[in-house]
Amino acid sequence: MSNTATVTVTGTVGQAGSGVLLTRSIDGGITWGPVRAMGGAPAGFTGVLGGTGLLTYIDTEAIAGAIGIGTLPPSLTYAARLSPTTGSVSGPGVSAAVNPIVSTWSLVTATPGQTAAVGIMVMAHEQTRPNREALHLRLGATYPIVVTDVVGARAGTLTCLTTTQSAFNAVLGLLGQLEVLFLVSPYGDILYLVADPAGTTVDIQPGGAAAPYRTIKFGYSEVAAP
Amino acid sequence: MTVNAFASLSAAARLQATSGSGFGPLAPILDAPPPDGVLDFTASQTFTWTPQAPNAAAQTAYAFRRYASPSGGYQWWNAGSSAWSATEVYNTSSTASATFSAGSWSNGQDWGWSVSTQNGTTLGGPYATNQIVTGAALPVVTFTGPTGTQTTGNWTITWTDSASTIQSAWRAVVYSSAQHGASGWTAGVGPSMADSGVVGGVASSYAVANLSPDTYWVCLQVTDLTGVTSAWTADSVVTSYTAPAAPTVSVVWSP
Repeated sequence: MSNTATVTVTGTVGQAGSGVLLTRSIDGGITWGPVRAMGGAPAGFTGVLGGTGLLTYIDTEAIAGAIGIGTLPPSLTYAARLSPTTGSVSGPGVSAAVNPIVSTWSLVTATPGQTAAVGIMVMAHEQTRPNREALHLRLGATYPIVVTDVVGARAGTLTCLTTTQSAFNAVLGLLGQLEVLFLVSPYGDILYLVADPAGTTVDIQPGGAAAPYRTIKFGYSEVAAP
Repeated sequence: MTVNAFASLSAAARLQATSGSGFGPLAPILDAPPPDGVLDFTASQTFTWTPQAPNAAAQTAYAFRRYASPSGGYQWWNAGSSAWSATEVYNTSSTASATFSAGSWSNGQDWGWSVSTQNGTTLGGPYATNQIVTGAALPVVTFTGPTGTQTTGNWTITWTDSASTIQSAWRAVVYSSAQHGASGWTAGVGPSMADSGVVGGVASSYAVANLSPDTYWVCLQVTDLTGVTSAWTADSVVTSYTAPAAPTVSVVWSP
């Protein structure tokens, strides 16, 4: 799964069922931020240790804290604490740091563990930032007065190339979920977006019947992180 | 707004003022309490001002007057007898403040107050424009729980508000012993383990969760319906339990 971090939290078998508080650092452990809770996690926890005392967490937004283009974090570290009984909290277990190298595009839902990240190739990425404008034509004036009161969200179109049937199905699945998606480019920029599946177009490219290459073009609007 | 009264004087008056030849100071600037401030006069309170003397002559005496708003007669503070007088009194002092003991004023009343100063001459300067201060009882918040040593990291803070005021908002902040012991620590400021923020309403409890074993400091503050805010409380809560073993954590990045 491209551009994701797989975090394994290991307790003892006796700690099975404990709540897990997982945090992420993208600056070498100087600052820590929460990660998105897994589906079904108790309130206040990221997840729960399974029967063998293990929790596997796939962080699809691992580099979400990176700011701007080309500023991928130099390291990625996770810390976890366990709460076996209500209000009893362990000290933190801290992972070794890894270097989150991004070399491909990926498109995922922000919800961890629900949808596998899809490795795609973005062929075209057009983006505009429309304004809402009003034009005032004063009597006798040479030039009109243009008033802009709202800067629109960035929007555009993405054209993705998929080279396998599974990738193609996964992209269509993502578009059909109508969730906020997280796009990561190999250049280090990240974008939360909502796709507009209604205008999706698919073109089949030459590549053989077994592994048809397809381009999927859809519109999107940038949104804040959910 | 600060008004440069000196600038409005005539040239002759400026010369007289700067020479110090029998010309009194200008009206002082009233600093505290601020206009329309609220003070609890069941406790000692201090009023402050900034003397305005064009020739930088220091204050040598002041006259502090008050009246019961809106139409009471003036009374002047006699610092020597610690009593109010119906005639003007200049108190010899170079300090630009006056402290009143509890009971010198009364709550449940709007008061106008002002100050005139002298700077070595026998002429007092003009009084500053009257400012209004309201005497009102401050709300008092009392921490009521949890009490005793807590054996989990989840507990609920409870409090009561003074019976004479009606709570309209509250804030609860929990500090670890390290945060509380940090140099310059001030309640309501800086990093904390839990902070409710200012919450409107009459609630009297706030739950905290997942606290590690430590001695925590709970700080509470309430605001009543008139907008007056209480002082902060600071009460300790000992949380003690055997922490479970820390997990091991590993991470693999998939490029």
